[in-house]
Amino acid sequence: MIGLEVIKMILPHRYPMLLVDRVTEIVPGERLTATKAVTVNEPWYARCGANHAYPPVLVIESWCQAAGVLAAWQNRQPDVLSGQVMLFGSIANISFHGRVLPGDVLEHKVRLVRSLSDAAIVEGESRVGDDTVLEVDRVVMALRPADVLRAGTAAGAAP
Amino acid sequence: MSPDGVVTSTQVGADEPLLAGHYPGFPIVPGVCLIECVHRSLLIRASRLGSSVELDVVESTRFLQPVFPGDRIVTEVRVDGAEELWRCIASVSTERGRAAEVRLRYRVLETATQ
Repeated sequence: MIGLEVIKMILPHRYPMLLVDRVTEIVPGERLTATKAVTVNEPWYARCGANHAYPPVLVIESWCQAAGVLAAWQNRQPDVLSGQVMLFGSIANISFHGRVLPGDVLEHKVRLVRSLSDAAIVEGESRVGDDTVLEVDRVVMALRPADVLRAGTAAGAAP
Repeated sequence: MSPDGVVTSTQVGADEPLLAGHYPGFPIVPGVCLIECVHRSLLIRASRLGSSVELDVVESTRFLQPVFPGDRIVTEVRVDGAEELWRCIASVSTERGRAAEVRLRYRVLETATQ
């Protein structure tokens, strides 16, 4: 098992936007399994009213962070908050198959389809128990210099 | 709101708490939050029409430039509404221009009786 001390060396995300708890399996350059436990004391539940479904876009974000661990595994930076940062390039066909609720443990499966010098193409799915809750046809993650983001100008991609 | 679309705007707070973790030292609005802007715009439309919808597929998203604290986000959504599903094509912009293009598909669970 790979815990947060290692995940935080790879992902620049921090509380409350770090949405991966553990990596349970990794075959570098090939595939990864990671988990994220959903709880009702995450900040998004402060004003949720009667709907306790985990926001669908955060299921995507959590899956993409797991993908980021796989994509950046072999290209780790000495300082995660400088050098290259991982950004969303594009998404094609992510489908939802059910609600995710507090108490659920998301299990993300990520497969690396193709790795380029400045981008990675990934696919996979997320499960809660035996149920598939998310299917990801394709996400392109782009690596860009962190300086581009600080400059506040068009970077050719957003996170 | 028009018969086939909805336009919303929101201001990103300069001290928005989630940006403390995205990322420390260089706050940028997460790309999925731009998708959320489109999603919430659709939920507003659904609620005004008395419909109940559920996000089914993120068909495509392109992120064109970053969004920063203090930016005003304008979301323009066009909806091709059928009875059982809504297809929406949206653009998310700031003062600097287009930040994202998003296509979403919704299942319509309930429609208000006319």
